[in-house]
Amino acid sequence: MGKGDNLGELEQLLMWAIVRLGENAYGVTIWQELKDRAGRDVAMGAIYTTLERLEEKGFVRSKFGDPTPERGGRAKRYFALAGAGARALEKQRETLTAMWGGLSPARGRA
Amino acid sequence: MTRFIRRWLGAIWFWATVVAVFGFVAMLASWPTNPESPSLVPLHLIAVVELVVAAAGWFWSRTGVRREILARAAAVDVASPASPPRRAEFLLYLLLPSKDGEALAGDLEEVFHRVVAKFGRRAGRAWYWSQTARSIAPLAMRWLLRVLRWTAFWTAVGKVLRRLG
Repeated sequence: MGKGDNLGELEQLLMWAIVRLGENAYGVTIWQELKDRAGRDVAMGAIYTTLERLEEKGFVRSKFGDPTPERGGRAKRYFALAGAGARALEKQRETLTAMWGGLSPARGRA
Repeated sequence: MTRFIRRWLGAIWFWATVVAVFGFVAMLASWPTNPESPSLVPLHLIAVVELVVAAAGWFWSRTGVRREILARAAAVDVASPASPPRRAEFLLYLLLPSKDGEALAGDLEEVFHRVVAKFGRRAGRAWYWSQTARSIAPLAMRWLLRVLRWTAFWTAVGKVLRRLG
């Protein structure tokens, strides 16, 4: 994994939210998931810019759905995790697990 | 609409009462000294007319007419769908490519309607503006990066073309 493939905190949270939401991952549900699960009230614009960055990296892909009346006739943009994104998340988890191994945050070394 | 009617009715009622009270006090104050003075007659007349207006206003406010008009205006208010602040929406469109702008504006509008249904229009508009304000910095940075990237690309293309030519 190159240096540009490293994931920031918000990037990781967004990718986990996409994994959790499955096929229903679009702006509003992702925003709600971040709020409910991670306690992070992130601006919708920041979510979009981060997701675009992830899409450019090839970690996430998106497609537009059908327009709906409650959105003023605008289409939803659905996001899904790409293969590279899944691998990057897995790698990140392994790194964190390896760093956590044998440690207790309150007392230092277990 | 409700706010508009309420504000104007309130203002008319308030000033009619104020003027009536002042006129009535002035009339009472001048009565014992010279009630027959011709210069005071218009004052008396004005005070009486104002008292009648104020009394009519009071009577009208007690009847169901006022409530009915306000209820009708409120019903019109509820019936007309709330829409997000257009200026805030325009700001988003300025900073995002059209299709992304549509998706983001759609997401914001979806939550906006939820907030309006729960807390009212004012809260909905405040929420929309707060989201726009917080989104501007990351969107502007993204826009700037995109512009710089394209500028660098076209500069490189220009250099290559100059070398070839």
